[in-house]
Amino acid sequence: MTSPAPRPRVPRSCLALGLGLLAACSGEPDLILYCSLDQGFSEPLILRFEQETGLDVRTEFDIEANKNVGLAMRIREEAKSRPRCDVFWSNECAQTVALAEDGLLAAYDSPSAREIPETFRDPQRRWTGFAARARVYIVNTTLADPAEIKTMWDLFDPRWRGKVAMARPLAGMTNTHMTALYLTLGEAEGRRYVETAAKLAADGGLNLATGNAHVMRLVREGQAAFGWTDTDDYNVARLEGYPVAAVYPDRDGVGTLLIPNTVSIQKSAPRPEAARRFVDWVLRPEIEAELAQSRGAQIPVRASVPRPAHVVDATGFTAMKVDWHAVGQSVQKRTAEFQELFLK
Amino acid sequence: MSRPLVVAALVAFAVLGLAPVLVMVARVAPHDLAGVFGQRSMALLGRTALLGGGAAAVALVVGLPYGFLVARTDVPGARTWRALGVLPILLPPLVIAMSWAGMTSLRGGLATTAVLGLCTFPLVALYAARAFERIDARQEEAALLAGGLRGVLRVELPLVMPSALFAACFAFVLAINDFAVPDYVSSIGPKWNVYADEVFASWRSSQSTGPAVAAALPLVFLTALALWPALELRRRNHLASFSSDFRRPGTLRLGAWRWPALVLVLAVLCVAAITPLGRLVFEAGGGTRGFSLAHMQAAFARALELGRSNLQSSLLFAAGAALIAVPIGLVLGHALERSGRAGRWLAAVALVPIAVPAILFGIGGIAVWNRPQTGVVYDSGWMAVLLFAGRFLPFAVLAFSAAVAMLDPRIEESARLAGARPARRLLWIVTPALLPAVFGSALLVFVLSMRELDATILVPAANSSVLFRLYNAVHFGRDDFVAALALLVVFFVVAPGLLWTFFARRRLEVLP
Amino acid sequence: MIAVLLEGLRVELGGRPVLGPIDLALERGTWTLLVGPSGSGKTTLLRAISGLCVPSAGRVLLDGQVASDGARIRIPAERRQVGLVFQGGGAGLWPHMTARATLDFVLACRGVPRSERAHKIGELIEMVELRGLEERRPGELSGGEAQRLALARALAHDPRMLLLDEPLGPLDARLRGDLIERIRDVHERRGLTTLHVTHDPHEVEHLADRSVRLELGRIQAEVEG
Repeated sequence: MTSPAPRPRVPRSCLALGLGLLAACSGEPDLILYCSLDQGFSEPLILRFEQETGLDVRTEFDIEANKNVGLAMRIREEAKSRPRCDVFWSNECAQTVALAEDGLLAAYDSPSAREIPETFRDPQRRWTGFAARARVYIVNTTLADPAEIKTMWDLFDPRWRGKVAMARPLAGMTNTHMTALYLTLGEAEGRRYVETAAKLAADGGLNLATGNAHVMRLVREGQAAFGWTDTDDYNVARLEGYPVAAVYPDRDGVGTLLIPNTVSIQKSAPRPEAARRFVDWVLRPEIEAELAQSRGAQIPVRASVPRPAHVVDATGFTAMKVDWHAVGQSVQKRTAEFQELFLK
Repeated sequence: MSRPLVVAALVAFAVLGLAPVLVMVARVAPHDLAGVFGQRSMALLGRTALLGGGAAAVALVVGLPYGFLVARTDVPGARTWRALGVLPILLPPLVIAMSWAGMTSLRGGLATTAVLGLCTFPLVALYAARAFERIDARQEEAALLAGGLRGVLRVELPLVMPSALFAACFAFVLAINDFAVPDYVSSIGPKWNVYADEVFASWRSSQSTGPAVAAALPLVFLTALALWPALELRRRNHLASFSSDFRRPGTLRLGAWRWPALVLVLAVLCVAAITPLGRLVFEAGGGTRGFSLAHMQAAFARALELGRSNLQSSLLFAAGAALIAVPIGLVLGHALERSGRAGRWLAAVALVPIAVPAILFGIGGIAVWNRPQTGVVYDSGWMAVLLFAGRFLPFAVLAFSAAVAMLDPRIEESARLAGARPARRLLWIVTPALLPAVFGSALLVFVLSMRELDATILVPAANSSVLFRLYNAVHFGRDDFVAALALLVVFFVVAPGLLWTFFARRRLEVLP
Repeated sequence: MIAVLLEGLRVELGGRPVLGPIDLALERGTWTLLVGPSGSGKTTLLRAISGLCVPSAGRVLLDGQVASDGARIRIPAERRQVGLVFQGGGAGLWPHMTARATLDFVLACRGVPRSERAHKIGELIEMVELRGLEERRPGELSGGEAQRLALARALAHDPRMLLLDEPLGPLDARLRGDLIERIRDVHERRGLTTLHVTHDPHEVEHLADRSVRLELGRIQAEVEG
């Protein structure tokens, strides 16, 4: 007898799929780490931490497209109902400070952080900075002489009109950078800098890229002569053999902004013990040294940490003095102002 | 359709597709709306509407002739060009933008409009092709006798236009919600900002989620404004449908215009699909710094090695989303088509998940699912599956409703009279009769899920998806790896549809 | 015994009245012809009796039981045990099922045990003379064969009444005569109550006990056969 139609084989395939999906993220880990430092740099280190401690770490990364907002946003959202993150390893500082301000971070004074300068540490020890990136000009050496570019104001020099670039300061490092300028240069000068950039951008005098990596691409390909980017992006272009140089501007002035990675423990971390072990581990000088050796060429904040020749030390630039607490407090307000200036 | 089944499907839809949106909208306090309607943001919104209108117009101007030529005429290789014509809508718009910005000096608003129009032209081409095919042979022959090919076009264009306009409305919606393309294309020269930038920036500048969600509302409104005429066209049955004694029209002979038509078709394909894909292949082989096959081989080997598990996860997520969306879409699509006035409301509600920005949907997903009771789901791969299913259910619902509209109701009525209960009718009568639509909707949800990043980027499972790996690699500047991985993603996105097109006897019914 | 009783039956489609009020009684075992011009509401009447459309007013009683009362459906279509042959060559046949699978599906819906179905299918196939075509799908049958399959399907679940909506429409003269003989045979053997919509009453009036003329949705005349 013929049955009306072949019996659909749904249940078995559904079961296989269901098991597969559960397997995709199964098992209760010993530590949940949210990490916005690029996966390629951080993943091998985390793997080593697992091997050394025997702890099972579930790491959840952020991506460039999210401009460092993603994980912070998620931490806030999850904290409302079911906090699950233990440690937040951020590739920048402002969002971490903002989280601390909102009371979402726990204080922890890691013994590994003793040598880290106070500028990179929260006085209340809710976060610790390490392995920094500098905000530099990446210069295409076939189009411009790096020696001629000295200060942040050179970006607005009529000579370079239409040949300079930066990312729109609505997110990411550029957002933190511009926010910090208001504090370092003072309200009036900071505003003048940002307003000049916005005005130039509106008529094509300054090219606004989609992010720092894009600034690097525009410069290495000669579509721009120079522009603001981070040292890790610059290093990628350097390693690929493009004709580029990095300028650490304002040596005689306010200096170059260093933005450290930050590591923090969540206030409601479900696994605080493992969280502290990770923080102690990642803040060790050896890890900072490894990050300096990596493709990201992170700059150690401890003078004693060895670094390769292409990673600057204190003699290579002047570090901008930044009150990170104030940056974190003002970042949202400033972003709203930048929105008014740049989104027209 | 049985009421319990419809209610169950509605509940599933409400949980998967509506709850993430409603949770977020509920956070908007009246004072959050104060800053939303300022002069600056309204100017941005106006420009965004202009961009959408321009992109829709480009899609219409390119898609309508393309659809006609590949579906109805004897242009050489029509079948192949028809299948390949879908490619641009499957490629991430940014890939198309990057390849053209890299090769030309096109910048600014016009270039953005052109790129987004080219990305979305397949929508118009697909709908126009279907509408041209559903013109009765007798109507066409009468027009042909009266006025030749010109006469045919004069008679048929008004009949096809509603379908093409329906698709153009969707092109408008896709264009106004994109912020990556305008941002990228205007990165050299004067910046050309759009409202979607404002939505994204508001997440960072807002102290709480209320104002950020409020900032998205004007864009949601603009989206709804475009979807409304689309739904009206559907409701009034202006989209192509045929009567029971329909006679399929024959192939129209272009005569001397056959070869120029081929050139036109190939030019469109080249600009919108082949060049961007070619550029990816070029970059996978080393690009401007020295192209070689060995380099390309190495890039693909590396992409497969590093991206294999991500590809597997993404395939699993996308397949899971398709499996969930199909039965719900089938029941709701059927109810939508067969339930008269209630169906009209259902159609409007069904569009909610795609009418909101992806980031809002994703955060809504966290708010709904990250609870002690559902923590297991939130932490697992299921979360990505459920978010994809919820976000793309509207397409499944609309695709099924379109397919049900073409299904002779007497097929179901006779089963009813035979004593078959609703569930039995659905399983044994409706589903087999709609098999091309079942596969088509599954494919649609699968493809959209494979290339979606924004809606799920904030949930744990996103980490293992292939697009996550891809965007991570973009930042590293590993262009060859990125290109190879992107090509692999394109392959998996395109392969099921192409296989069906070339080997199945029945045509895939995929159009919402 | 009254098999079908319609009391003040009205149907509206899209808010427009298309049928009624209709008062009509059909005796069990009788053959009634329903005639009238296109758009007079003949098909709508069949659909209201079968339960496929919801009346706006009036009652439908089947074997004394209230099947619908106003817009309220008391017995849904799937429980009315009505066989309906749609207008058109095999319209409403399930395109994905073979002739055998079609009949098997109907019998399964009626709860006929699997062991008995083969025999019953054989009988039905025999009755409509589709032997040798059991494994064909509707698309592979001619107009006449498809219509015979539609008839077998309508009879497979042992209906208490048979509704025919111009079942002979697309067939040529020889097939029409052949099919109508078959229907008449079944009608008599099973003692069915048959309501037969036709636009050509002369062809079948010799079979009918009675003829009802419908115009603009109302009964204009009744003629006893």
